[in-house]
Amino acid sequence: MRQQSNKLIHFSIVICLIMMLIPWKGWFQTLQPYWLALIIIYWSIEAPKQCGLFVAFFYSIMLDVLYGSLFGKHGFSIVAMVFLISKVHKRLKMTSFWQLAIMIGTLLLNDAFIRTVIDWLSQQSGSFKINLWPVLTSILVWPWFKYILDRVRHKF
Amino acid sequence: MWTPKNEPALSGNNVLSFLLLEIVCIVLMVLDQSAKIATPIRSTLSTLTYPLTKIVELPQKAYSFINSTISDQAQLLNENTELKQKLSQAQIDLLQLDVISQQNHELRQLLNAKQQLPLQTTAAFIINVNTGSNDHHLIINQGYNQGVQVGQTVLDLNGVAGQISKVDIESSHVILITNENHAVPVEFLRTGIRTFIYGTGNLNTLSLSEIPQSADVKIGDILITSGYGDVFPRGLKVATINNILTTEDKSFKQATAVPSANLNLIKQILLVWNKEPSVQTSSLSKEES
Repeated sequence: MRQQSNKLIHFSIVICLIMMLIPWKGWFQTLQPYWLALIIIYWSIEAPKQCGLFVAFFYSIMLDVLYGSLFGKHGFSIVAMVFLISKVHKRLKMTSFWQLAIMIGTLLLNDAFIRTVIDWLSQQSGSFKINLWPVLTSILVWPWFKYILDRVRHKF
Repeated sequence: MWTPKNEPALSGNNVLSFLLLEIVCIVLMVLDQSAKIATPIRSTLSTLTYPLTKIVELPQKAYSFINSTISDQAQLLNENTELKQKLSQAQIDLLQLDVISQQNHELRQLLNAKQQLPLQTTAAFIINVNTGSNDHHLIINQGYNQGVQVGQTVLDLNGVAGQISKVDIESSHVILITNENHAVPVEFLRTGIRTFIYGTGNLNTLSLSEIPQSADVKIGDILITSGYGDVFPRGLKVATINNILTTEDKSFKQATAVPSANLNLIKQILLVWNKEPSVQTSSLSKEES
């Protein structure tokens, strides 16, 4: 197992934060994949020592600041996700490509569910709507995302 | 290759830090309910995120710069004549407005009511628009350093767009009136009946569910802010009624309205500065009585 350069990890996470900020036209905004979660999943599987709970917490709080969402909303769900991954990351590394994609879909669904519950509790508006589009697009993007990152990673 | 040594110990340490971080998150969420505590934390952290918003803003600014330098002269001339025509029309309107505002002034003096100050506004540039599923908000390029405060009214050139919900160091977040969790105290321009208008999560629709049954409501009625609640100044155009719903509810009429502000194609917004809120409320209460 090669030691991954910390610079690359942080740089790629920051790039994903910027990608989350880039506005998409009109209705397409709803389809925007959850880049930050994808990159954090990737690194917490591939380099669990360097992308642990604290790194995930820090960047997801940054996302809360950037989005102006409830403080700690993304933090709460992403930290939970990284914890789940840290329990099984050895097995995740070994699973086949498609099984991994399904696992990631489940994790993202869980994450979306946690955030919806938080929204529902904090706003008391009574509507409980999970937005499943980003989960779906994230799963579709994942194979290419992983492929590109694997290529980039072995260059450094 | 793989040795057990390399494996990070999945001991209680991991569980402990997980629990710690989740508790920190919950504490932050609770603290976020009060703007007084949350705003300083946000603005300190936003010094870290500020470069990121700048990076996102850059291509948009570059695009408009290139657009303005490259656009050909004929187009500019065309635009110029068009603007001149618009200006002369506006000046004619203004002439009439002078007379009306003079009359208004005299009438107010007769009634012994305080003068309503003209609104002070500054233009702001929109960095990011987020109109995803249930979270309608904008990010603008003015923040704590420019003196922006939570609750300030945000206008577009056609009407009320929303209000400031969170303030960062160099940017702030605007919650749109179409956000599901947003309500504006409004009154009917024609009849003066007061009610609330709610966001629906749809950029083209607002809903009114608390119109008194006895009220006279027609399609095309214009709604303006009533100034109640001391958040929105009085008399700003909010929406136009486009549909009156028939319901079983005996106590209230329901209707839907189209926001006056062009929220779909929002480009530039105006921030309203409410210099002396206490003075305005007192003048309002006098008017009401």
